[in-house]
Amino acid sequence: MPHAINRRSFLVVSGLSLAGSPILSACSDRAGAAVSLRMLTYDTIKQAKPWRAALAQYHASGGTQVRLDTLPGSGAALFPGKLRTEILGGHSPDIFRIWGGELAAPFIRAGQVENLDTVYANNGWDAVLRTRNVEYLSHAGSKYGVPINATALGIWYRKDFFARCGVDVPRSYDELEHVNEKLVRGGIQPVLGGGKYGWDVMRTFEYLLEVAAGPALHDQLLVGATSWNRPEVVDAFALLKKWGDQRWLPEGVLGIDPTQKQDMLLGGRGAMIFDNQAFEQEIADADDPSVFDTFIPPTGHNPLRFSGYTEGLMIPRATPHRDEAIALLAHLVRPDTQKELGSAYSAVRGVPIDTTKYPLSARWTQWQARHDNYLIQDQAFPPILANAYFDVQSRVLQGDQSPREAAAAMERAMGKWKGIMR
Amino acid sequence: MTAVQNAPEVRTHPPRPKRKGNIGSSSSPWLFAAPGLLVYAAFLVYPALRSAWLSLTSWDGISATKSFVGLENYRAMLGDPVVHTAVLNNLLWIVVTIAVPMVVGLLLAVSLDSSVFARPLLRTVFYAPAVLPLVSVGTIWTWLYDPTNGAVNEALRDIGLGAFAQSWFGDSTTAVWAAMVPACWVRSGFPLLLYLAALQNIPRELYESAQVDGASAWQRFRRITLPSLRSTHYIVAALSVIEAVKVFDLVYAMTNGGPGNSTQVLGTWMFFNVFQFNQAGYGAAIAVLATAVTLAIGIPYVWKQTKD
Repeated sequence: MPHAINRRSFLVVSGLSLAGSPILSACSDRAGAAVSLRMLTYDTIKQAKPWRAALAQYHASGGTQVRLDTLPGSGAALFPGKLRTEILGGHSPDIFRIWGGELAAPFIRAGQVENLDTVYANNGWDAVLRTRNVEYLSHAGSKYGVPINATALGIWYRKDFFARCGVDVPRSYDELEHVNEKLVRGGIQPVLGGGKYGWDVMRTFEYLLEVAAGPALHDQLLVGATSWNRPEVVDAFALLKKWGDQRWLPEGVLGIDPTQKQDMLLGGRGAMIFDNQAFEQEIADADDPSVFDTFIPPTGHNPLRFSGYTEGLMIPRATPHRDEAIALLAHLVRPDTQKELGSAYSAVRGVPIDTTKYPLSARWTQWQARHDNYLIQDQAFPPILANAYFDVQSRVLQGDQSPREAAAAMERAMGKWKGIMR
Repeated sequence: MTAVQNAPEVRTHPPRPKRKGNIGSSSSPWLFAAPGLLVYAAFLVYPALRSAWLSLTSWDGISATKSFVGLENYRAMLGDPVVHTAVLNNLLWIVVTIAVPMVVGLLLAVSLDSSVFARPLLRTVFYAPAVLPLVSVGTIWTWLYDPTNGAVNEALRDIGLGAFAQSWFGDSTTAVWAAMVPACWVRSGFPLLLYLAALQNIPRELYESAQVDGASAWQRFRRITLPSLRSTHYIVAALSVIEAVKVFDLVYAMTNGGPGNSTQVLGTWMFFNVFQFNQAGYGAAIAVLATAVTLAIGIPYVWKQTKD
């Protein structure tokens, strides 16, 4: 005869089960449930593929299981917000990817990421990782992240358009202006770009500032160690105005979405773009990849520098799996793991590049070994200052502000930022 | 006097005594409303109060601690030129995106009201933009305005007005106006529907007698149609003002607040401060300002609706 469950006994059993479940859960956790890590990144689905394969391989060879969560296409404007929400919402990843400079700095200043000084010392990472890129993930003399990508920004151009206008790769800034003039005369748009969102015009301006101010002064300006209201900065803004007025930048550049520029170069709508090594992956899909080449924008200064940035991995302090996360970092910075990831611009020293697949990026790796770089300005500056900076640049390009007024406005913006930080 | 009136009162059951602690009739409406109120309090009232509290703090949005700064964020807003630009843009947005959709919606409604034949089809056609997600609308119009490949410039060139072709979002003087065109396009469908419904409630006899009295079409519109739509004007205007103060999606998708900060509105400047500039306290103060403006307009509207 089946045993009947009355209402009272059902409630008693349910209540006991509910009360006991956390205890059972805790016991099972202590009993050795496998630790699993969650890595948060912003890779596209295509970029995430080799990472997922490498992480699966890591697990298969006895490492911790790692789940890769990605937010494709979120970019620097949205990803930090998502990361912040996850950390503050109690759903922190165990490891996350982030850009360096002032995009990572708020998380460091807020005490949300692990200090890795001891880990660096114990693992000898200073000898393995590119120093400049480690600096971009450091704060107040301490290291908080492990750089994965060492990205350099240069000019990528079409050799066929240069040949058509009878110009060669410029070796000085004056020669670059001459190239621009010849291209315009030949009916070709010299430089492609887009001012929507601000950051792409900054790519041009940071180069012009390096030209006008030189490396030492440029570095001082980026950290606010000297006044922006000075002749060299006025000259840099005057050059930007010239690039706009002479149509070396596209007409109406401020209204163009910068994500179009790669397609426009591939489609023959212009001769040059400021871009990084990732562009080579797009060239591979072009009708004739052989027409594309790259060069370091000439500055006329010694040392010759170009802009760059880093992307790296950090461990949030909220993770309960710090040791496992460190073990994963140690695995990821191994040259053979980097090779497996197929990076064309690894921040790990001595990682061989597939020169058949990425011949131009390989050249950039050599240049990075010989030349220093300075941090791109939208990462050198905190976002609110970068916004003010772009506002000034757009006013100069529109003729609403003279180069002299722009230099003074930048000094005011820098002063305001220093006030906020105080 | 009827037998019914004289009949003694018959009570079959004695009145039920009130039980101690019984849920009386005065509290039962609250019980019925409780689930909704709970959700409202959790997802609207609490976040709003929390934002108001945050607006009195200096918080980067990441740190565990916040420091109380009183009204400092509100004082800073007074000296922030971008807030001034944003307020002006919001005011401009309110005027244009109320006036244009109201006039267009009214004209379309009057036209459709008299044309019974194609009314369902045309009503759907004109209302269709209103159901599109605003980010999609922004993306579509960004492409239409593209300075090199956009259909707007192409159309201008095709009709011999190539001199007007330009980078619509690349110039501070045109960007905010260009951004308002899609807003008007999207918002004309809503007044159309309300006006159309209201027009159908105006008694036809009024028009017939006016016609018999020799009133022209314009006189009938001015003396009968417009006064009869007074309450609809009010609804459309109040809801449009609230929409215009809240505007975010279109500006964010089309101009991202640029060039520079020339097209910032309170919604986008609040977003940038909270989510990109790590100034959550200051961003919350901007949000409180926008909410206060919305409430100042919304409360009289709700009060009038309740009264009606």
